[in-house]
Amino acid sequence: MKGKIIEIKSDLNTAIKNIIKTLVQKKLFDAVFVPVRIPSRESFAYLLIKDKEILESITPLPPTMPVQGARALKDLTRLGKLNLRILCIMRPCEIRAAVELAKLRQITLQNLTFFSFDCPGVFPTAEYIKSPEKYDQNIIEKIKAWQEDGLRPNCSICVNFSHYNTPADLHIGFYRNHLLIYPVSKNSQKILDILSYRAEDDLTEWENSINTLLKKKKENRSRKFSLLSNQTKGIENLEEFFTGCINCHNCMRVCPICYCRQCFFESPEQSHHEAEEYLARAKEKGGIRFPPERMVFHLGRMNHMALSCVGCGSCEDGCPMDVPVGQIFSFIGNEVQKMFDYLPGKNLEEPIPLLTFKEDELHEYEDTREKK
Amino acid sequence: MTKVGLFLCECGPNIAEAVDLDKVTEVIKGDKKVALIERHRLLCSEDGKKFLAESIKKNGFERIVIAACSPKQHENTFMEVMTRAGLNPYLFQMVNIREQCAWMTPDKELATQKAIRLIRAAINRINYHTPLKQKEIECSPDVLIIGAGITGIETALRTAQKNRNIYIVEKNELGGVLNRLQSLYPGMQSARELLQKKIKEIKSHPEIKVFQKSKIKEILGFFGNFIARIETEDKKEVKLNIGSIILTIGGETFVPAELPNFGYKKFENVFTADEFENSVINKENLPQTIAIVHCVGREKFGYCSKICCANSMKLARLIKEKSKNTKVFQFYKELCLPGKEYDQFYKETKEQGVEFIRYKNIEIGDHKIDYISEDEIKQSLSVDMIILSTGLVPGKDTQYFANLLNIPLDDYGFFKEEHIKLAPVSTITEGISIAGGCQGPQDLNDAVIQAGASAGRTLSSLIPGRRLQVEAKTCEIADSICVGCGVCVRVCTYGALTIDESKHISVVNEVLCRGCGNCAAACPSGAARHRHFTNQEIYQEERAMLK
Ligand SMILES: Cc1cc2nc3c(=O)[nH]c(=O)nc-3n(C[C@H](O)[C@H](O)[C@H](O)COP(=O)(O)OP(=O)(O)OC[C@H]3O[C@@H](n4cnc5c(N)ncnc54)[C@H](O)[C@@H]3O)c2cc1C
Ligand code: SF4
Ligand code: SF4
Ligand code: SF4
Ligand code: SF4
Ligand code: SF4
Ligand code: SF4
Repeated sequence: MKGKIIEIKSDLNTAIKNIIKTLVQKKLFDAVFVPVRIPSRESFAYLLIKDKEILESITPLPPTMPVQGARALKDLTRLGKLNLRILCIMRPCEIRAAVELAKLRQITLQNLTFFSFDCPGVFPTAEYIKSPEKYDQNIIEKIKAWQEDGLRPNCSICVNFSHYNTPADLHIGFYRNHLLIYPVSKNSQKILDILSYRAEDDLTEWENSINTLLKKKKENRSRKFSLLSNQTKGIENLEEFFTGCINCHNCMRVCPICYCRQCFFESPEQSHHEAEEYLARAKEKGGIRFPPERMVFHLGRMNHMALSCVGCGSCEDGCPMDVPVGQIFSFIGNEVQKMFDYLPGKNLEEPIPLLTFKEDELHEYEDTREKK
Repeated sequence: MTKVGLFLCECGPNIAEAVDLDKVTEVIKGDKKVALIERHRLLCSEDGKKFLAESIKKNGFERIVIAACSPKQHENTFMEVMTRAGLNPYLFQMVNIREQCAWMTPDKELATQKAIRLIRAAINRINYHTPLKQKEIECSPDVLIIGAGITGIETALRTAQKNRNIYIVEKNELGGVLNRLQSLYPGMQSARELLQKKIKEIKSHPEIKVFQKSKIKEILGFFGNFIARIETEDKKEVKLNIGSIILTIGGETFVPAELPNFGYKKFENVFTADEFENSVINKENLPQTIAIVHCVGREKFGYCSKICCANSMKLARLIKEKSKNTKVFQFYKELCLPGKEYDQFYKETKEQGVEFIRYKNIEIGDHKIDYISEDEIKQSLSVDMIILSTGLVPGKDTQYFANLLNIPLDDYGFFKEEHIKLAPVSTITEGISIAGGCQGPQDLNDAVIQAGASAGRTLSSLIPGRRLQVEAKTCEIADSICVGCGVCVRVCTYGALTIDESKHISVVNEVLCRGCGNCAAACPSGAARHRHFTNQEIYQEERAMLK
């Protein structure tokens, strides 16, 4: 594996920023789509930046992710291609969500270039805003040490945090106070040329370090998943799992893949019944919990997400009640995606399995169930 | 509360003996949602229909549930009665207690319980039905037939009638394969004579307009309202408005160039059956020994082409007719000769001294055939000429029309019929039929039968002077909810949905929509919705069923 290795002289954000500035100055891009610290200094937002001055204030590697990048990008490009060449700097799960949304015609990828980077994970937003300074410092430590504790739970079990499976044009790696540039797409050659870099340095050491980390994370993940599997067996356990849920639907609102204009579970037909209907149900079950349709919402959303969930954990980050919703969605998503041999957002050309359904496709699966 | 009438049909002894209808009545009677339960011995009979209509009027029913046979059988019958009785026919739900209970569940007690659940479900559902309106659109009764082989010609003759224009477009000369044939098995009549007669007929038919050496440039629209652009022989453009299309573009004979063991194009005395009958037999003096090899290409494409065995025997006879002393060998793997004339045909061929040799494997060399015989013995035979009976494969333009008209191909590349047994000449796209060699390998008889079938289907679907009735149980897209993700478009097998790019939403073509519900099931937000299977209807039905 070959790429370009650069020594980091100042800090990571500045090193990446300098690369971006050069590319904009040399007119390879008209604008940059990247997180910027918001003036209150407690959070970050994606900004579409044309002004070179504002480029100074970007934070390509923010310690938290209040808005999933794909969700932000959707608002920008939903209605068609832009006449600007835009450079987007995003985390692997954000890029995969963007590609998934492109398959669903909610993002137009033309004229967009993606830079991904080795993602150390993010801190829960609610924690971050309590003491930003502490976490700003901590994220640097995290990158150096690659530790999982204190991160978003989904991040600590994320196995697609590096260039593997990330459909970016160019990937940026970190290794021992160095920044590595790894060209992924054909497109990236032009970028290297403009930067006068040649992809000639040996990246093996970095790759080995990523693989070691990946192994550790995979172990974490299967441990977590088997725990979740036990915790959610049967409808009663599942009810228990979601027991803290106040049915606020925040998880749906922040999820990049929940792309609907109006969520089905908020449609009048689905969410409001006549009192008589509720009474009838209460009579049958001995009582019903209000607000109602809580489990229907979660199971329904799970059904809608299973094939496309990128496991970013934004849903859980946005949950006011600390329901481990991101973890279970990631777990179920993984199971379903395995069945179809599909990894959401990995490859634009690969259609979502729902769209390629063939009548005889599931026989294999049916048979194994029958034999049991 | 609306007045719901429940009708139980005994279906003679069919239902009455297997389901305890007294028990059903007793249980359902307690349900406040039903105004009255009626019972009849045979509701679909004339007497039964009269009873139904009178009861509706007498009791002032507003909605009807009928527990009887499969809706496939009599839903339309009862809907007509309702319409005549002044009710909207969609305020109706049929419960299948015959196929799904009486005939399925031998235990009478269980069958009865099942019937009760199904009936309850229907009763719970019916109040959520909305009256649907049967729409009608203007349409053209005219027909476009593409391809003027014998199938196309025959289809044209059978669709032609007063008040209906038939257009037949052929890219070459009229006649297709038959132009290349000497005679036709099994009767051995002249192919040319038959063809000439038919060509004369269509050319002089007042209702048929023939376009030879013409090209289909574009086809837009849908059932009842297609527009085709054609480039004619003299390079002029003609625009046709038609209501339906029949594809009769035939197939092709396989060219065995890629199968080296058959020596085609390697040895100058090896021909395909097609070439032999078309020209070789006329040009050359026939040599002493000729071998005809069957099943060429069969293994490669994985099906039997149906015509080659009989056709090989036909060639043997043509050879014998022309040159009595030529020795003819038939090398076959399997003999496929179904049909009432063919045992006799085979016998007669054999009697003329034609020798049949069964092979397991074959290799064609210079003036010889090396083969492994049925009993695993390696043998060799020297011959002067070899004819390869090659199979039939899809024509070159099949894919082009599949894309143009949004119809699928089968695994072998022929046009795919809607249902191999039940709808062999229709496609999944309403208004587009297929017939002849483009549907699959077949002989003339089959091709002509298909021509008749596709003509019949077309004639009955669009009648001159009548407007087209459009399916009322379609889906609809809520503009204000749809996000234009295109999921529905890609799961609709009937090509009824498209994305309106300017609004970035999906739109449904109600003429093409068959109400399958795929889109409604796939759309996450519920923007795509089925008019007769709304979430409420399904929910209420299931709730009562599972209670
Ligand atoms: C060598 C051979 C011998 C046979 N012998 C016998 C026999 O003895 N007895 C028997 O019963 N059956 C026989 N058959 C089978 C019989 O010929 C066929 O079943 C029959 O001819 C099929 O007719 P068709 O009209 O469907 O196809 P075709 O005859 O192939 O006609 C299709 C027509 O469509 C036209 N076309 C194609 N593409 C386009 C386009 N894009 N636009 C416009 N026009 C187009 C073609 O030019 C052609 O004229 C034989 C077949 C072969 C190949
Ligand atoms: S899930 Fe977490 S660790 Fe994985 S790419 Fe996303 S932010 Fe990074
Ligand atoms: S469901 Fe949760 S984890 Fe999955 S994509 Fe949506 S926000 Fe991310
Ligand atoms: S849960 Fe389903 S319906 Fe609701 S926004 Fe997400 S995808 Fe759409
Ligand atoms: S965000 Fe949390 S509390 Fe709100 S609906 Fe989702 S799981 Fe429930
Ligand atoms: S699936 Fe639903 S939201 Fe998507 S385009 Fe179709 S109707 Fe619209
Ligand atoms: S109901 Fe079926 S045929 Fe009609 S638009 Fe939807 S998917 Fe297509």
